Amino acid sequence: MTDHLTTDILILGTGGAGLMCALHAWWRDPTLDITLVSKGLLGKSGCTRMVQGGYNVVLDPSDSIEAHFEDTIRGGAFINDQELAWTLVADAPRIVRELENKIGCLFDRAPDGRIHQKAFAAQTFDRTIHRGDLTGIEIMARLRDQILHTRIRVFEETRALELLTRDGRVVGALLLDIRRGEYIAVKARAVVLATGAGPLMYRLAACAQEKTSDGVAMAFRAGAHLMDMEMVQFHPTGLLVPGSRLSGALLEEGLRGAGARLFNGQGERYMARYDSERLERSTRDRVSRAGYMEIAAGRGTKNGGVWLDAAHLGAKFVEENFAGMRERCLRLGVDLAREPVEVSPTAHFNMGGVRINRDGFTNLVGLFAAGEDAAGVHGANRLGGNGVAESTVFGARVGEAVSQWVRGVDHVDANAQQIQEVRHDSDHFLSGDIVSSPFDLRPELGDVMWERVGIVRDGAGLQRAIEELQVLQDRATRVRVKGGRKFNLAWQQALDMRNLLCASELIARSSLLRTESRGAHYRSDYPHMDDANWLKNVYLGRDGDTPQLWTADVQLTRMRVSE
Amino acid sequence: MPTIKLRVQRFTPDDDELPRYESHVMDVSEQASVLDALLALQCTSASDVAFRFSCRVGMCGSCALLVNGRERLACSTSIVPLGPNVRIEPLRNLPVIRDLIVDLAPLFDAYERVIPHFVPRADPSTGSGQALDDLAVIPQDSGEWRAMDHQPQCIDCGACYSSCSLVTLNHNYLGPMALHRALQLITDPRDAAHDERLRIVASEAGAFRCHTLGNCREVCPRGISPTHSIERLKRIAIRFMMTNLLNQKDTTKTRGQ
Repeated sequence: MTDHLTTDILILGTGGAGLMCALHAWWRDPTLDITLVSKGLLGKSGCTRMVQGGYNVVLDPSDSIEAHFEDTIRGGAFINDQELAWTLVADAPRIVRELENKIGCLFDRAPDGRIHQKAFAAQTFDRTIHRGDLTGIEIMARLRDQILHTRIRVFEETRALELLTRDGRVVGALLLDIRRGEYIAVKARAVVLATGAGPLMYRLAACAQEKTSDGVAMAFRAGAHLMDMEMVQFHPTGLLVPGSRLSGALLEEGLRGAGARLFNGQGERYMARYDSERLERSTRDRVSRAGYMEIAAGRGTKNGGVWLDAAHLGAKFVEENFAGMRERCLRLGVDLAREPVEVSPTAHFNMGGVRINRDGFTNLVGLFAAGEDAAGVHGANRLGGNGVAESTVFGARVGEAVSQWVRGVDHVDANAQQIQEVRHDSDHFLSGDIVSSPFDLRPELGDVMWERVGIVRDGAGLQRAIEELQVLQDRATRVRVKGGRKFNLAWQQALDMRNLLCASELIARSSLLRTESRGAHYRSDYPHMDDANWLKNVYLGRDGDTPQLWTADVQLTRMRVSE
Repeated sequence: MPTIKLRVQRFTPDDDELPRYESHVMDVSEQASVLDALLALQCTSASDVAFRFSCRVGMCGSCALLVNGRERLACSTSIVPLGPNVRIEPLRNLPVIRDLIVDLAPLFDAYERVIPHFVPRADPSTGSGQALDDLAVIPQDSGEWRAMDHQPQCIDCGACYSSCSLVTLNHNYLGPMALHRALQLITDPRDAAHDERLRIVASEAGAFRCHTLGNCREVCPRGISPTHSIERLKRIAIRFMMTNLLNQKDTTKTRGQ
């Protein structure tokens, strides 16, 4: 059965970007029919909810937008889209005021009553605002409250399967109501991708479980241009818990900001050998790579990790400032305030994604993107605290832009045959004998990506990974599940695999093309940064069924490459 | 590895007449959570068991369920200390969608009734924009700061709603989560809907329904005491009603003269 719905703006994703987009579109024009689609529960799914340390914003008169911009570009190793990065830092102060004064978030105060800003890594000023060490709860719960106060339609536990296109234009999406197992064909004037991408294809990953690269994969299949897909951020300090899904979950950056130290299995403070100046407060790419190399060189802990030690900061300080992180460890029998915790680098964020302009327009008419689904803001490496800033800043911008844009366009009927095909492709997992389970494939994908498309890459390994991914893609189509249509998690897993495999291949192919090392992308066969040849972005599009790759020079519109 | 015997409630309304229990024996690691056990189950003997989770670090509040009859977050509860026999059931006071997944609509319907959204003092879209320009300064030695609620952040998991006997007895009762949110806003000096919200809190379905049983306080995975919040609300509401009454008297007097 397929339900049909017509709406003005269809927003896929309900993290920070999706909800800010919806609210801004609604505030600008409450006569618009707006539909939000959440793969999980409203306000609870996605990674904005999981934001720990905080939000980078220039509030202090002795800080400056220029300084935040420069930190962001240097952090991104100069391949950021400088206009997008400038938009991020320039809009953030206004958006933070909106979050506090209009949406109702309350960030932590210093004793004098002003918003407290703390230290994060690789920044020249302590500009990260926060609510304890669990900031995302505050932001998402308050955004959710505001959504409840509107007449925006919300589909919970509903996923988008495919963007519907007609003559190169995006005209809607086919959704699957996970609870009922039934389809909903949505006709929309504009579709906003805000699904949060997410590198869940790696063995260890930090993200919320919904983030299976759905947005990026759907956009690619629809013909959108993607950029920087090789740039996958690994966070240096993911928990290592043998036999538990908790593995890969983060211990926040503020710990290193506050002075926590990293030690290898031999008790050596190894960061001195990788970045003698900034040590643990170096950028995430460097700290992650250092940890990975220590482990690879056999200097890791017995579970294959390194130690994060915050005990010397004082038990009281850690208890007060990192209560959430401490609680997370206490269940495992480790007291972060008093002893070192075993950690490992963990896949955390896609810098790459859909190519957008400052208002979220993509190359496809009718398709917009914001947040982690989009590329360009962070270049080759994202600074901690710039992620939630991106979601909220660009979500708001797209909301403003799209609410005006839809006034000038009509609905276009979807191609009935496309709907038929997508339904067929999704339904086929439910019919026939089980030959292969989707739950078996996932760890295999995790190993391929971790070992060959991970923190350290080389040409031969990437080539091999592409072949292995093709085998996995083939096996994924033969997966069958039992249990019917209603809230069938195995079926959802099978649908997730398709998108994860698609995005994995795009990451591997982009990584193979970039024959240098920059930011999060490290090639052991090309270990140096090559500004002469690679101040470029790698682009991806679709040529028939195969990915087409090309490069284009970075436009250094505001800041030149310097020493 | 420790062995656990898991009894999981299975139920698909419309398809099944009654809930049933399935038993599964499994080995789990020492540090496994209830969620880890369910994930292992999904990969082995019950691929179609339905349960909810998202962040798996206790921040999203999607995975609350009953473990041995008590509300807990699946992701944040170690299973071995609760074993070897562990019974897993969906939350109470909420309709089941499938197996361990409940419909949170009644919880959020109650929540919406307390005006849970922040109401700015000046509407920035129509006003001078003043409200948007200045971030509130609330010194920690001020009365305003001390009056505010400083308990841990609520993750709206529904554990308190499930545990509340008063909710079971009266589905119209606003319940612990909604009332706790009301307290947060009522004590927030930046919010403008103070009186309106207090009237709802003081109404028949509001704070005075609470019998101070404290179930919610015991089960909250975040360490919030909604019981304490509700007690505060009762005091604030009484003061509010008294003041209103006195003001009314004053008005009557003035009119009489």
